[in-house]
Amino acid sequence: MAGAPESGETRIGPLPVCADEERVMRYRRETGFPDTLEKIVPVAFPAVWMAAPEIDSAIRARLGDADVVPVHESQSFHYFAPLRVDESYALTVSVRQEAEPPRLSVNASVTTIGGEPRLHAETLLRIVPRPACLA
Amino acid sequence: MSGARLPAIGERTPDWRIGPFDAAALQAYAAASGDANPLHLDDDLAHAIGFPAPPVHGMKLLAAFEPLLCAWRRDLFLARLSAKFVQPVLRGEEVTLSGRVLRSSPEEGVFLRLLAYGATRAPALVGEALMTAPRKFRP
Repeated sequence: MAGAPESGETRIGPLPVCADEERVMRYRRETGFPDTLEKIVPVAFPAVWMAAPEIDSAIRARLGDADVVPVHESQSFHYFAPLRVDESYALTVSVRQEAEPPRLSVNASVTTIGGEPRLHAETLLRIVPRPACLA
Repeated sequence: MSGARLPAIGERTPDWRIGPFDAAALQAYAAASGDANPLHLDDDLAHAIGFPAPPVHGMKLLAAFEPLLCAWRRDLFLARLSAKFVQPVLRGEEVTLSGRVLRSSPEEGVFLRLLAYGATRAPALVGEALMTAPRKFRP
């Protein structure tokens, strides 16, 4: 699923993802939502999908052999329509490396299986050298 | 936008206190989110980078604005949420979240500046949110 097109970006997907109820409810609990039976997908829930092995591998490949620690610098979620519990979606991600300052820009788009846009998310990761004492 | 009165420019959300988060809470968030970045879980790594304790996941703080905003205005939907993680909130710190309305109109919705701070009261997260009426935010 991953590739390195001419642009210098690594593109991943579309990956099938699902806002499955168990993960949604667990994420709600860990982010301070009231303990109700409300089945609403949190706006930040797609962060869960960013831990997919394909995306993690692409990020690691971009970092290469460098002994570094990624630090979350900024995050955005821009919705066109809400996600729904237990619905499946298609996730497409691009990973781009920036030299100065060193960081990774990770852009994600989520659409319905039929291709209707649901959200765009952008993650910036600052790349910090791992301290020598831990290398 | 909706039948209810829109919030006025300058209106503030109630302050919303969360935490303090212990190591088990950070581990639980890492498990729920899949974000197992050792920076948030490894005391030695945090110390080596210069933090007295591991920082709380920025996403855990950003996500916590949604319950605040929904409790403040249940008649509006959160359509956009973003933040810069300015400085870390450390494990064991209480965190205060707040929002202030910067723009408010039936056409564009309600645009808020978000702020989170920990024990030092210096901004830890500076963000933005756009809340809109249900009929403007529907598949």
